[in-house]
Amino acid sequence: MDGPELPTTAMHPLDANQETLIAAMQSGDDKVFAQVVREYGPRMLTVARRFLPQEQDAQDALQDAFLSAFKSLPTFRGDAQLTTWLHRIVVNACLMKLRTRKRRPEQQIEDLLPKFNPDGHLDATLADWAVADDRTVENRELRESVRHAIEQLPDAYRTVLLLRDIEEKSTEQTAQLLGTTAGAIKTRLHRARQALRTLLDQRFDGGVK
Amino acid sequence: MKCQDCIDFLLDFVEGTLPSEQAEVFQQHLDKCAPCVSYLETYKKTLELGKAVCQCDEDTNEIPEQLVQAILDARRRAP
Repeated sequence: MDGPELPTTAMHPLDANQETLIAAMQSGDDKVFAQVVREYGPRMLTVARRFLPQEQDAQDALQDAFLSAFKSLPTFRGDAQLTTWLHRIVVNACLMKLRTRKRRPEQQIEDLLPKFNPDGHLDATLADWAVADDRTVENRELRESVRHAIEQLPDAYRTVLLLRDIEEKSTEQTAQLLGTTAGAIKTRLHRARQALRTLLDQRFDGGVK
Repeated sequence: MKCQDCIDFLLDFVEGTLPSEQAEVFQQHLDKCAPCVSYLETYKKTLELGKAVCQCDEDTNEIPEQLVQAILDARRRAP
């Protein structure tokens, strides 16, 4: 399941001293484990929450990921950053959780795809997206709107969107992680992006903010 | 080309993987279809917003103490 270096994992301050850190963890130093969980936990929980919007699922996946990471410490290669390594384990733990948890009722993706007239032309009045142009992601309300829209995507589509567009995995890597074909991933990705566009369109149309 | 075909090709167009002949037809449609131009722009904006929001670190500075303790306790109990 190894992929290329992940883009969202800038070097963490603890990574600078990671050899010492790894050695201390390998010797079973409780304080160092606590330090690692407190330092890396918030960022890793944010990653888990993207894949698993239900808070309890995200926390369970994070716990599984840390336990798996601690167990795998003897095989940790010093050439990887600890942040990158943990990030990858968290994503894998989330994918495992998505495979095994009970399915919840979800919105049908078809409802979020563009509609066409019988003659094949777009049947839509598009919302004014100026609000998104005028505000940057420094605007908390805009960030929350986008996050909430991503959360609303059905699991299978949100997962592909996150792996391809956010984690920047290739189509082939994503297909391998999800046990399907590259063609299926492309179709699902396009639908996920269209659905997310519709959800944002609805939010901006309602004057979000 | 109809809007429906145009929207179907959007992913390949945005990712630069649409064969040149089809890209040309796609562009010809865009030249005369304002709704598809608008759709394309908002599709691209959707990608930008998703990436930018997920890479924004401002909201990632908390972890419940109870979860920290649960992880540390589970590690101690692990074989």
